[in-house]
Amino acid sequence: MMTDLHAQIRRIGAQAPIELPRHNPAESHFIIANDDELLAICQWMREQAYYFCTMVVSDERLLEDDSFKIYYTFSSPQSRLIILEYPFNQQHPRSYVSIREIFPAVESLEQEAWDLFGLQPHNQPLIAENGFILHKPFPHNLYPLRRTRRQSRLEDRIAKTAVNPAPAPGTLPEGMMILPVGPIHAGVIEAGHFSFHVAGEIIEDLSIQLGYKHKGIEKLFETKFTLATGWELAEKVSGDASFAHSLAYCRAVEALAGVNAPPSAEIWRTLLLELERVYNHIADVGAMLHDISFDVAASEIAVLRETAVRLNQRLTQHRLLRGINRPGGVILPHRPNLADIRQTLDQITPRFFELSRFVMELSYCRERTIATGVLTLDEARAIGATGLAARASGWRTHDFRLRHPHGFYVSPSIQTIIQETITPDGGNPQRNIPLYTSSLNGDVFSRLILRVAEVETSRQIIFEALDALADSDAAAPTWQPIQQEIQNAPNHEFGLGFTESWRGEIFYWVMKGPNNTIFRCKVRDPSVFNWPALRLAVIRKKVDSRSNHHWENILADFPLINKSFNLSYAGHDL
Amino acid sequence: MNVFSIVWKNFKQWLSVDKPPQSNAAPPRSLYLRHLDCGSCNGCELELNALSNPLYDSVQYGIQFESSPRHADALVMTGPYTRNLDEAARLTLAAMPAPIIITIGDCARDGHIFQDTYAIMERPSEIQSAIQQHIPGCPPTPGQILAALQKFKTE
Repeated sequence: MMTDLHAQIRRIGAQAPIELPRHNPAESHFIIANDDELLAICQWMREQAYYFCTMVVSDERLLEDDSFKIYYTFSSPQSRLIILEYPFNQQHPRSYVSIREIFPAVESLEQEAWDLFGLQPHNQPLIAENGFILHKPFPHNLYPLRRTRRQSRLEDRIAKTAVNPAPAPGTLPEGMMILPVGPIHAGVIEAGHFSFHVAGEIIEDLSIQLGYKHKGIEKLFETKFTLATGWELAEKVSGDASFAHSLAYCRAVEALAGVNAPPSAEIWRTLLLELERVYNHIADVGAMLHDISFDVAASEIAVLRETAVRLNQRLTQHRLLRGINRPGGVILPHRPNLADIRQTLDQITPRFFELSRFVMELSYCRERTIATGVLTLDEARAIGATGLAARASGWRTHDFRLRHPHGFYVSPSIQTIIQETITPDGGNPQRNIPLYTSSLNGDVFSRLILRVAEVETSRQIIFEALDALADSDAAAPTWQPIQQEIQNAPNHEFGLGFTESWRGEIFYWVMKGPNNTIFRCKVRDPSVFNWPALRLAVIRKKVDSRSNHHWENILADFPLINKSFNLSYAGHDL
Repeated sequence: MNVFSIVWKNFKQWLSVDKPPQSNAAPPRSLYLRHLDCGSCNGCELELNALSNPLYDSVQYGIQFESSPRHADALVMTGPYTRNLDEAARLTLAAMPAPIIITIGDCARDGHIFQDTYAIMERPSEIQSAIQQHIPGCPPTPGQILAALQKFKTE
C-alpha cells in the first residue's frame, strides 16, 4: 500500500519529490517542487478516495527556506496521513496554486489565509474579497498571523483605521427578498449572520457570514502560550467540544515530542471523549425535539443531558470536562468512581432510547424531519463534509475512529462496536437501538437517528473502557511529564494531532519554535467544512440533474436544519 | 368531557375569583433577559441554556430569556468582546429600554485567557458603564448563575 503511494507520487512528480522522515510510521511527508506536481498528486488522491484534512499556512520567511509555506494534510484509505509541503516559489512570493477545483473544502481555509496572511491563489479568484474573518473594524492589509507582525503594532494599526463602509447590496431577481438574521440571534445562541434569499416562504439561497467571534486564537498560541501550556487555550476554542479540542492539541504535542501517553491515559481519554459525545448528542436530540414543538420529550431529554453533565462534574470537577488533558496523559483531580459512571449511564440511556424510539415513530416528527434539509451523498463527498453530517448523508465510513484509530480505539472490540453503528439493520441484536440505515440519506431525520445510534455506540465503548480500567492496575500512572522530550525535539519540527469529536474530526497542527514556544498552531474544527454543507442542505435545489423535482425548505425549517447540524461558530471563527 | 368543557370550567372558576389574594410580602418581580454573545467559546451559552431545563427551570423564578432587547430588563453578556461584534453589541444595547448589563464568565470580566490579542478590544464606555453585575466562573454553573440572577432580581 505504502509503496503504491510512493510509486504514484514519484511517477507524478517531474523530479522525484523529497520525502522527509517522520516519527510516526503512519505519516508521510513530501516536499512539492512545483504547482503542476501538487495538482497532479491531488487529482490522483481525489480519485483514490483520500480526504482533505487541513491546510496550514506557515510564515517561514525568517527561517532557512525564506518563504511562506503551505502544509496540506490528507487522509488515505490505508490509515496513513499524507503531508504535502508546498513552499511558495520566488516568482510568486505571495500567491500559491489553489486545489479548490479538486478539494472544494479548502475554500474556507483559503479565505482565512487571505485575511490572516494576505496570501491568495493565482489560479482561482477568492469568493469574497475580504471580510471573511476580519470584518469592518480591521484595516485591509493587517495580516495578523504573519510572524513579522508584533502584537503592539497590530493594535496601533487597528486604532488608526477608519471603519470601511459596508458593501453595497447586490441586485436581486424579481420577487426575491433578502431576510437578514443576526449576528445577534433571538435566543441563547452564538453570533453569526445569515442572509436568506427568499421567494415567498421558500429559501432559494443562503449566505452565511461568520467571523464575528474571531478572537485571534492562533496568534495567541504563538504569543502567550508554550507547548506545555497550550492545552489551556485549546480547551476554550469550542466549549461543547472542550475535551476533544484539548485532546487533539495534546496528541499534536506528543507527536511532536515522539512520545505516547501511558495506556491507562488512553483508556481515560477514550472514556471521557465518549462521555462528551453522549451528553452533546443527547442535548442535540432534545433541541431538535424542541424545534419541532415536542417540548414534553425535549424537557425530559434536557434532564437526561443535565444528569450526564453532572456525571462529568463528579468525575472531573468540571461540567464540560476541562482541565484534564495534558501533553503526556491525563490528570484526574481524584480517584474516579467507576461504578458511578456505569450506574449513571444505566440510568440515562434506557430512558433516552425509550423516548427516541417513540419519537422516531411519531407521525408529526417524521413529517417535519424526513426530506427536510437534505444533504445528498454526492454533495457531501463533493464539498468534503465531515463527521456526523457526512455519515448521516450515507458516507458511513467517514469516521476517524475507524480510519485512523488511535490509543484505545485500536482495540478490535471497539472497532466492531463502531462498525455496528453503520452496519445495516440486524448488525447486532444486543444493541439497544438499531439504526434505520436504509434511511441514512442526509435529511434531518437521518441526523436525528444517527445521533441516537451513536449514543448507543458510545455507551458500549464506555463500558468496554470501564472493563479495561477495572482489569488494569489502578496505581498505573495516567500521566508522565514530557518536558524533556519536548525540549529535545528539534526546533521547527511539527506534530499532527487529531481526534473524532462528536461533530467530526478535529485537527491540530503544531510547530515548535525556539525555547519550547509554539511557532504556529493551526486549529481545524469540523465546523469549518460543515458550514458550506449546511448551506447546501438549506437552499432550493434539484433532486437530481434529470428530475424536475426540487428539494425545498421553508424559512421555518431553518432552525431545525441548523440544529440538526449544530455547528460551532467559535470553532470556525477562532 | 371534551376540551371545550374543561376550558369552560376553568373559565367559570376564573370568573368566580373576585380579587387576587392579598399578601404582605414584596410584590413578585420578574427579570427578562436578552443574551448577547460577544465572542464566547459557547461554554456560557450551554450553561445558560441549561437554566431552562426542568431541573433549574428559571422561569419559575420569573427569570426568562427574551427574543428582543426591547423586551428585556437586562442584557446577559458573555465573551471577551471581539472587535467584529463591537457594532452589533452597541446597537443591541441601544435598543434596550434601560441600559443594564450582567456579564457572565471570566472572559467577560477582563478577557481572561483571551487577553492581549489584536481581535479583542476594550469595551466602549457606554457598555462598560452599563455593567451592573458580574457572575464569575469558566463557565459558571447553572446553579451559580441562577443564584446570582435571583439576587440581582431582588436588589
